[in-house]
Amino acid sequence: MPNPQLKRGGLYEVRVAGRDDRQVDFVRLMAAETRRLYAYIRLLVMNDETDTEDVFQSTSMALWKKFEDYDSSRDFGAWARRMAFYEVLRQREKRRRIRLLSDEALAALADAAEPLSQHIEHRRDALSACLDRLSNEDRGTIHARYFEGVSTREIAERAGRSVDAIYRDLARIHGLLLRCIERNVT
Amino acid sequence: MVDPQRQLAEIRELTVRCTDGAATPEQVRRLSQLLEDPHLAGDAAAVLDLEGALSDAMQYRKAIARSVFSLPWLEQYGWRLTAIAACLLISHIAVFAIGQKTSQDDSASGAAAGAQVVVRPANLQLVSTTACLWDPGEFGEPILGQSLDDGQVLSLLEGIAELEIRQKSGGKSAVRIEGPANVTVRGGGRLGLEFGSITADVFSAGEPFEFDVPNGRVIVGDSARIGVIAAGERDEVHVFEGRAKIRAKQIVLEPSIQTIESGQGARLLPGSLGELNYRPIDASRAAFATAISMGLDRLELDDQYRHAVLESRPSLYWSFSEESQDADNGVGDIGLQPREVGLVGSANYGDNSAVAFGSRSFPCAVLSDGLWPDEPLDDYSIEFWVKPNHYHCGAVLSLFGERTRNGQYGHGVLVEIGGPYNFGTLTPVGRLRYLHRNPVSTEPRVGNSCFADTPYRLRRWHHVVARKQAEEMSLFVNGALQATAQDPKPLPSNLHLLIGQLYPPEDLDSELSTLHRPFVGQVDEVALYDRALKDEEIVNHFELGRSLPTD
Repeated sequence: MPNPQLKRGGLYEVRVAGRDDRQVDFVRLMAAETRRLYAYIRLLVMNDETDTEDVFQSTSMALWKKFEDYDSSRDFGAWARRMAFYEVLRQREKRRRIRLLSDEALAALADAAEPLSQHIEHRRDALSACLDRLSNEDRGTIHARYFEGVSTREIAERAGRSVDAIYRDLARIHGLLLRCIERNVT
Repeated sequence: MVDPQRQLAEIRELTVRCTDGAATPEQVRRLSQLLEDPHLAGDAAAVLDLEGALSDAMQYRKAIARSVFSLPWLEQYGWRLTAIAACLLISHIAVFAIGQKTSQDDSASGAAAGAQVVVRPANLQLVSTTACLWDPGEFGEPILGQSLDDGQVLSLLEGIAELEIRQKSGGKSAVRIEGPANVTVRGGGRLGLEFGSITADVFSAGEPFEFDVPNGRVIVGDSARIGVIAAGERDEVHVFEGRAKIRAKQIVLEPSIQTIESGQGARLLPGSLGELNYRPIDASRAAFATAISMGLDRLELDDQYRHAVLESRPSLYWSFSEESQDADNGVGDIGLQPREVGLVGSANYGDNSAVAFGSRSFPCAVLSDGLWPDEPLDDYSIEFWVKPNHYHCGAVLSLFGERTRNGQYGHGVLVEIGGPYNFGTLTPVGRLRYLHRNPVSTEPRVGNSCFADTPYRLRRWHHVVARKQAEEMSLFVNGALQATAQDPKPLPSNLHLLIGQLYPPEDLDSELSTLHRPFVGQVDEVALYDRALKDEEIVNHFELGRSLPTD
């Protein structure tokens, strides 16, 4: 085991000369799970980009710290997502979109997110096809919001409608897309 | 009895409001209550997943859409998330006494932990361009002076375009896009660099100024000058002045935010196992055309140079300097006279001046007022100095014949530079080409060419001599022989000399007058000879011109 060099002053670095098998194992496992883990965390923090990055990083650190305790016979992804859930709970007060959610609500969301994150590739594939099946008007709303980055308020102004009406429309369009995705995935 | 469909509609709407940041505390509590039902939680999770997928597609959209919704994340996001695992650096591990702290110290302006400070600019517009080639895409070519909209994509194939961003804080920043590049105007005033290079002078009056790159986000401090490159899997940030931070996506076991000080840079790229790596580098202005001033390399020629050229007995000599027109000192222009077409610019270097092309999007060129040579020439030389503004495909100098039926002009000689967007020419990117043709022709495959071995340097003067002696063609750059070729035929007679683009601009008031492979940069000291210059003459002329090196 290479000798570490500790550098004090706030940042502690452990420099490892040469390749460490344990590190390589961890990297390989994380490389395979990052996409699902990231999608899982993002869902739990309700798609806040900054919160997702912060929780992902802290989860990764926690996973590495506890990697010695990881039982390789277990599903690494499931273990990682469990750790991520605990990180979300631990940091909930700092995460503006979820700090008012109850423990039960977060737990239910985490349970629901588990199967979704495992089928992310299929769902993405299905989404492409389902978008083409929307009506022109609905597709225009989706395009404005997600592809042009137009705010909901501006969409409402352009359409001459209320913001509440646009949110109801988005909810309806999401329902259409979800039904289509479910049909294509199952 | 609760209507399940109404509940689903309600939870979907509340979920969308939450992700928009538009839910009131009461609405969030209502959402929390509904989520405790596993069936409703499943639907809410599916909506969140759907929103995430659509947002990712927006982030990585490309200018050229294959369908109404080309979902580029299928190509780019997909490989990114599987390939870039953002894990452990193989070479070292960072333990995180400061890691956690750093992740909370977010932004040059000291924003609260986890908060995302985004300045909404009052106005973002295109303020100047060189001769540019745009891919119009869905939005059409951007128009000078017109404000740019959120979601608008600027797909610059070739050239340099400058944006001005006026922020509500009172700051005003300049961003220069170096083609080829794709830049998206994101919601909230942020620019997204999908690929290519940009430089920026940021004066944001204390507010942070941000760019998205594929691997993260660059947060630029006030009074900073930076360059950013997005090149496939690799992103780079160069800080020339001031300070910036880079926030990497999905980087693990290292602080996701790294501070970059003046003179330093950072590179993000995947490692051998797909993990994202952060590498410190030195900031390099040479990586960016727009980071180098066009005025930095000066061509301060004196009468000694001009006498040397005249001693070589040119048939035509254009020095483009007013001082050289004084016949008393014996160094005036000779031969055919130059005629400017369009707004040809000028660059002054002490007593020497050069002509400048392509600083605007309008045709301009310098033409001879007569024809040369009187008879076909087995031997001839063409000499000039050239300073390219950026990498592009541009016709620097040519000798052309009469107009053809399809409105083109056949060339007998062409000297051009190669760029990333190829107009079907044979000239490689970054290289000089000397083409000789007899008979004059517009066909790309007719004639023979020399291609310089070494790339031309941006915003630096190059001494160029294209020489033909009997069958042998030679291309010299800065006194050194770069390439040779063979062509048995002489230079045709009665050709026009043209500098600045491939064909002469016609009828500038007409909408049909267009840019034909324009050269963007400066040219000086053009000389034509009806003989082959000796190698030592070429070296002597170059050394006299570079007697005061600026490197």
